Amino acid sequence: MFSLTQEERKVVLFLLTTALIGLGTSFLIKINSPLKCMVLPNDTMVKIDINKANLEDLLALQNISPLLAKKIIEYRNLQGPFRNLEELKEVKGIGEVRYHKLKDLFYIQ
Amino acid sequence: MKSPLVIFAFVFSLGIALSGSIKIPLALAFLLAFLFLIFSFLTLHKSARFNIFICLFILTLGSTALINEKVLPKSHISKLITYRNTTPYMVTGYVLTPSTLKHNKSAFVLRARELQIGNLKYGTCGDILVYIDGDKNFSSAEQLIFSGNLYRPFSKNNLSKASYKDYLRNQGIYCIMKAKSYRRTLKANRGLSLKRFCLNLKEGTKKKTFPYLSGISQSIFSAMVLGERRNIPALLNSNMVKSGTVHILVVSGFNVGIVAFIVILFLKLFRLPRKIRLSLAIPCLIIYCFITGASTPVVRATVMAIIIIFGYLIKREADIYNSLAIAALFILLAHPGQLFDIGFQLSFMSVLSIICIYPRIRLFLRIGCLKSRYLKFLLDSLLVSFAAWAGTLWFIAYYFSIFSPITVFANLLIVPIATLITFCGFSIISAGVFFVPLTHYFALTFELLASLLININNSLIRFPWAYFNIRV
Repeated sequence: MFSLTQEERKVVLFLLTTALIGLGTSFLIKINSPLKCMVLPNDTMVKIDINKANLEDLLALQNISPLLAKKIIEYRNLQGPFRNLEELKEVKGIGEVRYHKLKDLFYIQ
Repeated sequence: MKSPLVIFAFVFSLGIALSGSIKIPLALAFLLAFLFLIFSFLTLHKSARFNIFICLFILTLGSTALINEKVLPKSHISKLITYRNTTPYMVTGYVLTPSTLKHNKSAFVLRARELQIGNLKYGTCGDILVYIDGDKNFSSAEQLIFSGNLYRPFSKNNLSKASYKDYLRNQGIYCIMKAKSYRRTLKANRGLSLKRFCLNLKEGTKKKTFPYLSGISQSIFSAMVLGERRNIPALLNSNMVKSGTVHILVVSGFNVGIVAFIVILFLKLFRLPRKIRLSLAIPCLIIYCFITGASTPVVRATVMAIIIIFGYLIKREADIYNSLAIAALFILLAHPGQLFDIGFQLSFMSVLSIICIYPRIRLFLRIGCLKSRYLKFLLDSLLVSFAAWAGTLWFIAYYFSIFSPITVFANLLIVPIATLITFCGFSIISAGVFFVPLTHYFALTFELLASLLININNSLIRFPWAYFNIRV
């Protein structure tokens, strides 16, 4: 069939043994690999419902000064509940830049 | 027998084929492999017995490799998808292959890293085939987040007998995503840095050459020189399949040979010693392999070319059968499932039939005794084409349901033009880098040759009995 010298046979055996061990290791790694799962918090857990938030809730947030918090509540009392977050831009003192900072702090149920 | 590696590659492939058709438990395959390994060690001093046991060991090793490849880790993306899922899946990963455009949908392979279902985020692995509406040309290794439906491929059969699900599994793809939207991540692009470098090189080449070429020539240039077939018009592709010359639109050993030739010739201009020229050709071939997407035919050709060059370097004549066997083992050890891939089968069968059938017919017809050099060259070309056609005939009939008697004659005309086109393509790249004013003239020649190729091919398939559609 084919003739290999003694040294060649040893080399072939070494390479094939390494391949078999490698296959076994790969299998063990696969079956023992842990499944990493992360629970992302819901909006309700980290955000505030802008239509239910009182002055204290708003003041607890970063980027909101007491004056701005008062203006938001004033707007809500006059215009009724916010229908979408974009409406925040209509509050005096909230421009495009501030809106982008604030939109991730609130949600509307 | 001078080529033990041929036997090893054959036995290894047989082992893979065996476990592909018979369901063998991994533990049993492993145990048998281990037993045969022990016997091989015990019979180390007895030639005949050692040969038998080592072959049996390699056979079981092949089976074990395929079974192991099918074992998926717990975090594999296909294990995380559920049937009754109402929320869209969000997959974060990086683009692995260039996208192809079909029916106004872009398709590409994405290597998944994270999967988000509702508010659960999993660290995951595995490749998925992504479909997204429109012509999206994402650059490879680009990190993106896709949102949409994720499902396992169905086992329904297409026109040929191979199941689409099996076809995808052999590529290591277990899931398909119909993406509705996507966004880019802020993280840096992922992937092998050498691969990223090669892809940047590819993009740079396109920028330098595309302004000089028309739409159809751009697509032919991309396919034949850069290995990117996404823009080849469907009609041109189908016409080339009918004439049996579609292989010229795929980067293969032929292109790798041209690259090696160009590199060696270019370095000769600097009067570098032969050994240095050959040594420098090796990294160039590896880079070209990555540029073209490292498909099976290119990997085969690159491995074979490196072995042959290495043979020259150490002043040993490379055995073509051994080189082919090493290339097969190299691919199959990394991805045993490639044995069932049509690209692998066609690539290896065509080379095998050329090196087995061609010399025998040449000897039988006594072509070597012919006095006319031109007649000898013509008959040699015809025989090489015939040998490749005869070797791949059954595979093409099985997978594409087509039988093309015109193939041998078509290749005789098309292959020389394709050679000129490929040379011209590389000349355009060189001119684009070193001498820009020449690029325009090279591009015009390229256009002429491309149009000649298309017209000759179209004329050939209009011949009576040029091709037959068959059902196997």
